[in-house]
Amino acid sequence: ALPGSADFQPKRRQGMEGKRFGMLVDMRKCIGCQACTVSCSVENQPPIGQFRTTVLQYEVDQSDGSAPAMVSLPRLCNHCDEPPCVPVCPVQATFQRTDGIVLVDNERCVGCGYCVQACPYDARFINHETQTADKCTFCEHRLEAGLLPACVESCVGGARVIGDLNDPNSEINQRIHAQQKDIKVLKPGMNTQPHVFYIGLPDEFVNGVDGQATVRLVAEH
Amino acid sequence: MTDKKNHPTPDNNRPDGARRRMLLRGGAVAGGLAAFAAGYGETVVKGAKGLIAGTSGTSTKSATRGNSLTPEFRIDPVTGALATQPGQVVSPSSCLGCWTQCGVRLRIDTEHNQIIRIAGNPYHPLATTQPAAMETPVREVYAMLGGDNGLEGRATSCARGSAMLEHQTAAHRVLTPLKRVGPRGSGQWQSISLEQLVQEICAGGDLFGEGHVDGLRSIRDVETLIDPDNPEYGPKANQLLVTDAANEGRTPLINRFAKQAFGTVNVSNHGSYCGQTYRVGTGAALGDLVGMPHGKPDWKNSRFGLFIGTSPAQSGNPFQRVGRELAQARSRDENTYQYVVVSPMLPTSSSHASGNNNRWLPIQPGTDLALAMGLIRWIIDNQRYDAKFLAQPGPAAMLAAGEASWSNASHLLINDPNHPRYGQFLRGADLGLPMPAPVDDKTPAQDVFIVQSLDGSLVPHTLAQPAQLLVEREFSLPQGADASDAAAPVAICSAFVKLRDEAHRKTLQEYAELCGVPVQEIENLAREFTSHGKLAVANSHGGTMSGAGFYTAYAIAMLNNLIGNLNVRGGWIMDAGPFGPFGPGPRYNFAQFKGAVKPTGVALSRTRFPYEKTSEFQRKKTAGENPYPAKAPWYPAAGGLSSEMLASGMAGYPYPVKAWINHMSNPIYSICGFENALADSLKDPKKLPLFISVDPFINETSALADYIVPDTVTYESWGIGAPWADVVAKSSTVRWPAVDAATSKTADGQTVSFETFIFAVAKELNLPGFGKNAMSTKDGELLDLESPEDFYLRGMCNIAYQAGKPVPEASDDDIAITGLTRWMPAVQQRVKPEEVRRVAMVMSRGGRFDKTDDAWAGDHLKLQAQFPVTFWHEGLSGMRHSMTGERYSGCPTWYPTRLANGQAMREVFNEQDWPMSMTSYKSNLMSSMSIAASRLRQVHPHNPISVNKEDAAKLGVANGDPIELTTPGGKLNGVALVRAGIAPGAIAIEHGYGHTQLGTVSHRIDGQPTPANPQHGQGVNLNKLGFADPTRPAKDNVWIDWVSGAVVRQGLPVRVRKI
Amino acid sequence: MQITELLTPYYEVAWLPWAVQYFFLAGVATGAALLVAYCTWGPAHSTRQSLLPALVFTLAISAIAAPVSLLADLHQPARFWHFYAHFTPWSWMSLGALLLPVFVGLSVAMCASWWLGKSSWMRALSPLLVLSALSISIYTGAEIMTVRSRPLWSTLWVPINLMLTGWLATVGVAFVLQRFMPASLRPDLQALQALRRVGLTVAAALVLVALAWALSGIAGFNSSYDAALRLWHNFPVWRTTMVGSALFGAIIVGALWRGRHRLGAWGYSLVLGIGLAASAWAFRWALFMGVQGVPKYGAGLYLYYMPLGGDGLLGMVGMAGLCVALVAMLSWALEAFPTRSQHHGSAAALS
Ligand SMILES: Nc1nc2c(c(=O)[nH]1)N[C@H]1C(S)=C(S)[C@@H](COP(=O)(O)OP(=O)(O)OC[C@H]3O[C@@H](n4cnc5c(=O)[nH]c(N)nc54)[C@H](O)[C@@H]3O)O[C@H]1N2
Ligand SMILES: Nc1nc2c(c(=O)[nH]1)N[C@H]1C(S)=C(S)[C@@H](COP(=O)(O)OP(=O)(O)OC[C@H]3O[C@@H](n4cnc5c(=O)[nH]c(N)nc54)[C@H](O)[C@@H]3O)O[C@H]1N2
Ligand code: SF4
Ligand code: SF4
Ligand code: SF4
Ligand code: SF4
Ligand code: SF4
Ligand SMILES: [Mo]
Repeated sequence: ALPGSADFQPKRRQGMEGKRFGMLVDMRKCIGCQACTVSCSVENQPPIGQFRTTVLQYEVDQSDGSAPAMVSLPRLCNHCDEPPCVPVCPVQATFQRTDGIVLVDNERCVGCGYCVQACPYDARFINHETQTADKCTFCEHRLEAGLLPACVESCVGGARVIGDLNDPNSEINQRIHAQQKDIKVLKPGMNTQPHVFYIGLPDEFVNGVDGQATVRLVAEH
Repeated sequence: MTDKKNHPTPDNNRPDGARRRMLLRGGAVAGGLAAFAAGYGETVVKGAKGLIAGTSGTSTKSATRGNSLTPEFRIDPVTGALATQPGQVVSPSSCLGCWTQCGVRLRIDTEHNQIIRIAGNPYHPLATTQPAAMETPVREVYAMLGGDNGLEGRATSCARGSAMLEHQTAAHRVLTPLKRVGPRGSGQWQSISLEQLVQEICAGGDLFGEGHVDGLRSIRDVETLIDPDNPEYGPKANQLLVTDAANEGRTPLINRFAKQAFGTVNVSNHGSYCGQTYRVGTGAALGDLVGMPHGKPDWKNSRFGLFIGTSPAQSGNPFQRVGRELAQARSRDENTYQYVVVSPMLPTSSSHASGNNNRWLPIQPGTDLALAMGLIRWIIDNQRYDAKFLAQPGPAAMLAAGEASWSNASHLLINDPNHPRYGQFLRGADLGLPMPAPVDDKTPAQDVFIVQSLDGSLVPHTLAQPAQLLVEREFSLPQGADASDAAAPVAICSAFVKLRDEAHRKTLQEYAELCGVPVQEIENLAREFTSHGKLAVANSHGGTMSGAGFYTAYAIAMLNNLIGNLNVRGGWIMDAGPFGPFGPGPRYNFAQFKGAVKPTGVALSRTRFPYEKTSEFQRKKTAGENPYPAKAPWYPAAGGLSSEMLASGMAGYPYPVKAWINHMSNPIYSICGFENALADSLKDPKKLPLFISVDPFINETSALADYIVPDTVTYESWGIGAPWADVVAKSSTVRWPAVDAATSKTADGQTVSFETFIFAVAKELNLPGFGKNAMSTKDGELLDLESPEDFYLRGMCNIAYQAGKPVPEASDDDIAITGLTRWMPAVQQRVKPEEVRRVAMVMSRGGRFDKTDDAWAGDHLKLQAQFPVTFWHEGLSGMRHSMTGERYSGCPTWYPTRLANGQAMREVFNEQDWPMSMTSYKSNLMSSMSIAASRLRQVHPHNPISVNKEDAAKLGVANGDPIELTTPGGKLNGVALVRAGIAPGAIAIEHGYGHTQLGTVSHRIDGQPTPANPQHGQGVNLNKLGFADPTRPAKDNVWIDWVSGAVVRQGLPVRVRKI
Repeated sequence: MQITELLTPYYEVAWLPWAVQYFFLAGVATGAALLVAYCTWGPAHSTRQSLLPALVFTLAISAIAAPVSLLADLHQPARFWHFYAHFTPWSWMSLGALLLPVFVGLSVAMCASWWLGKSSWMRALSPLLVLSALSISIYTGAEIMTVRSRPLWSTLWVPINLMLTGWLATVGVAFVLQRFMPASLRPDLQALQALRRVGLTVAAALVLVALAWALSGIAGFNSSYDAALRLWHNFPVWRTTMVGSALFGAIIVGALWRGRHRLGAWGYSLVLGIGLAASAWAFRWALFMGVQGVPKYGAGLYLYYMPLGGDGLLGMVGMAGLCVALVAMLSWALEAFPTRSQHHGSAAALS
């Protein structure tokens, strides 16, 4: 694709050799405990009230007479293969690596917020402290050390699985393979090729949530 | 141009006009620029900062990693070998984010004495479903936490557990001992030394300029009776009340101090306002009202779960473990687990993503007894019970039938309500059978029960043969020697028949109307529950904390009894308990010491002592008065009850309390109605002369104390605990101070804490069991007990040597990698050289844990219940309600939720005035004590009040609208959360918010304001709406379940209004 | 299925009200630049020439103020040089970083030439200025339009609307500003009528565009229409906003129409001017601040609490203050240092 065209992506930078990281979220196992949200917050120290990952809690009420039920939906950066957030950056502060991880260089970032707008998943935010774009890094600092990201390592229900999609034997690939027909991604129509995959994602949640928000309260310190 | 010709008339030709314009313009320039400067100032400052510092924000350690923590390890991708990070250690500890007390691993920045992150301890069964084997070296276990290995074996701490590290450095922590300067609750303190504090409370005197206060020295009198007219009340030492929130690892020290050394019977914990109904009710169903055993589903093998009043994954103990087990069970590809959660509000137990294998069944708050009785009725009427199991009357029959337990369903009892032995089982003696021999020297002989064998004969329950289940007949009891009248035949029946008859008291339709669950649903649920053989479990807990709570929990547990699922694979299984640390051995003897007291007397809570045995009852009887009602309720079936102890002590019945030492518990916040009913008494030094709180924080209760002793937080303290339930392998959790305590030091350099306080008081009062030669080794070698290390390290040593097989020795690497090195000198000083590394083994693993597989023998748990699965509780049926004189039912039967005098709650608080019914549920995020953790609070900063959408429409309430709740106890304003996930007519409040202390407000210490954050006070607390029971003669306590003594928090009458 | 979001985190806007100011001022500036370029070619004493000073005035002020607010929309304003150090040709914003200074430079040059009375320079500059102005219109529009994540932005209609409303604002701002110019430089009534006709044309175009947008939406070719429809259905705030803007639009068109007779009336041009400018400004407010409140994924709307400080209200007041000061200073400067053209021009006129 040519620069400027919708699917143009700048050249990726060096990442972990030969790998392509992805995450699998088995929503059947998510208990909505928010251990991931809080662990990510402690590990990565974003300002209070700003999140690299969230687990939204929904109550769904079907018209078929069945009782209302709960949906807990963990969300984070999808480390898309066609990340719309990257090409918009005017200073190439945000970039993707060969291992698929999308990062922000906060020393180069001018804080224009363009990437925040461009991400279809509300996965980015302007960090109040650094005044630059911030988002999930897949905890590449831990992956590189052979450790699991904070949210994965603390996932109480065992819903979050991270791994190398290039390795056919990896746990993530095996699980994806085993549940192939139930695998979904968020907003497939955006053609972003998200690399966070879901098991048990209800159809009504694939392209967004058409529902009522309840009481939104701003978290201060 | 057709336009009218009123061109703007140029007026600037006039000289004064020009001047005015100049002025105006000057003003515009100045004003405009000023506004610009103000509005753009931030940008300029940011820009300037950016130019100078390179960033307009704060700079981070790394450009792409921000301030992410430095990884604690590095695992080589090829070899899998683990390298540690200099400056960090990873220490085991235990969490107190809630009362589950999971084992955690703390990442500690050793240079700054700072906990930087918390996750789960991979050895600990509450932190992971695949705990590592004890003997595996720590390095190897930590190395398995990374990569794909780490996924299956992940060891976690939940959201609270991960955020609670903030407690250690919290700005609102109390660090020095405090003494109040104003009246109680005025928030004015003076800092004093621990030495002064201990001296003052022991000596007593005019401590606050409000008159004389008895000190502990004068209270500690284990000889003189409190009240010679009522000798059963015991000695004066009982006038010290000691409460502990719960055993967070240090209760044994409290017991040693308060019971064995000080000699008071009044030692209790939060049990009565936690899940008392469930504990006592289940205890009855398992035949053990003292041990109060209870079980959990064997998740891995179970097929059906019925959760009535407990919501796994929403809360529940152990929270993390049940959450994870539930998640895994419902996503199993084969033999998928199905479950139903019965609750007034839809909890996070429900999972739409897992498809239709689970559902929520709404119910009216506090009405579950009707549902459970309906289920029992249907199961019995349709013979869906496990008849084979129920027919096994004793251990021998059980073994012969291949069952894992046996029941008293077939045991015969006297069923004539007018007979003096009504409700009592027939015994061997009634048939003239000889008394069996004693089991051993400790277990005396027990007479057999009588059952009707299949051939119709009456035989002892000990035969290896089944008995008849449905027996109703007559029997002629042998006459005593002095009996004059003829041996009239008396009606007898089997226990099972009693249950059937009680269940038949109402029709399914009536039960359905009482609980709001349609008949069809009751039938479906009963069918589902009984469609999986023994692989189904009914479980319950806090949802039964209602005014009919005991019988509700008993009835729910009875569902399990009907399918005979106790201790079988896939069934209802008991935990194996801990490795005892503070008993008589195996290495150190804590149980006996010179001068140990055995406390005696009626507890303040009037528990485990029948009213009928009191001097008061006798006096009334003798005087020809009706002894009923008593002045306040007695609870012969229950123990503990801190909630009654405090209230009774302040009301002076059975006797007045003189001093209260409270470790951590927070009744003002946690007991429904306590603040309304009792806060004034608590503030009154005449009712409570001396009040000492030991707590790291000023909570709602300690805010009213006379003295506060700052405690260590869990990561800084010693402790030995154990999982509550759900872990079938024997397990003990240990923790040791992994970071230096933030509290002040005593003159001799000790860290101020709960322990230093206890040791100092014991020393000051010269109590037995503390100080020089106050304890001994197993072999009787005397040892000093003068510091927490003396106590806990030797307790840990007992753990290391328990169960007949000492644990292996820890390696140098185990010790170094966990940061245990700092404590090794202390270990070496306290225990024998050959014990040192075994103690280190337990310490480096954060406890001792058996393997789960070892708990099983085939499809049965090795652990055997000591008592029969109980359909009729003989002891219970012999007890009476002290306010009405009526008998307790020996088996579940329907009652409305009742107030103290036996009246139905709705008779007193009718539906016209209080049309709705309110219920409490634990937050899946917050606990009662986690509000100060900002990284947790940010996720869900407050608790809106759940209102059903149809009710909301009627009330004209929309999402986010302010509403007012009114109960007989008071009013409270909150924000409405309008949802479908709550039963119509019900109001639900998430617990954990609405604090008024814990850092919400500022106190003054030595005249200086303490740091405060109003955010800690966000949201509402249901307990503020509780009320004093108007039917208690002295209206001297909150609403309490009449049998279990539990504090009622479900099913409060309420009305709602939009404001 | 009815979905209720029980846990609702709070998201902030990434683009602050500064963006609204920038896009407003840039829109005004491009329109002014085009009109200046056009009027430059008007014969002496023509209506076009009469209009020129007011347009130059408008151009000068908007072209100077626009980058000022743009800079503030960066959370790291001091790093603006990164745009040049790390030039990124595929990013519209990066291109904008090149295009904007060129435009501002050309605009300033144009204004200076006018002040110096160098009409030949002006004529020479005019094609460049036209191109540059269009480049600004295109880049600002494209910058928004490429944001696929927001269906309400990712449509060709957005740049077109931005452009047209920008020009409408030019007319409005010129109406307002001309009143604050030295009398000798103010446009005559005929010139004002010409300006009004420009406004009317642009407004008509906007109406047509809106109709075309709706029609294409109804025909199913336009996802922004669907997104707007969803907002209309779900959120009373948006219903009010949409009805309000339609009403306001109708009033504006009516007022422009009425101006044919009333333009000379005292204050009419002021009110009309403010109305036109406000409509363009409000469009931007809804486009930026409103649309950022629509979750890209999630229920309901995100709340926008306007901060009182520089990132919010005070910032907006500040930009207004800057414009007021610029107007006052420039009009004063024009009195103190009358344009060369005035000397020559008036001399020529007298001769
Ligand atoms: N997240 C979290 N977990 C915790 C704790 C915590 O604070 N937070 N605390 C720990 C402690 S101390 C304990 S004791 C356990 C308690 O764990 P649980 O006993 O499971 O919790 P509760 O919230 O007391 O009550 C359980 C559920 O009962 C339901 N309920 C309320 N009223 C009624 C009723 O009238 N009828 C029926 N059928 N259901 C009703 C509500 O859905 C509620 O979720 O949890 C432990 N785990
Ligand atoms: N409405 C309503 N009421 C309830 C419940 C409910 O679900 N709804 N739940 C009930 C239940 S199940 C329970 S168990 C009780 C609990 O009630 P309590 O046990 O009386 O109270 P907690 O709030 O758990 O109090 C623990 C105290 O310990 C202190 N603390 C916190 N961290 C540490 C630490 O690290 N070390 C030490 N030493 N102290 C610390 C804090 O000051 C805190 O106040 O509440 C009951 N009350
Ligand atoms: S989820 Fe958003 S931020 Fe993450 S790569 Fe995709 S577009 Fe970029
Ligand atoms: S906010 Fe930073 S990373 Fe995002 S587009 Fe702007 S400069 Fe690039
Ligand atoms: S991978 Fe790391 S940064 Fe991303 S959500 Fe998980 S913990 Fe947060
Ligand atoms: S930690 Fe796991 S189970 Fe808990 S909310 Fe996050 S994804 Fe769900
Ligand atoms: S369940 Fe309770 S004890 Fe366990 S980690 Fe969570 S807060 Fe801590
Ligand atoms: Mo509890």
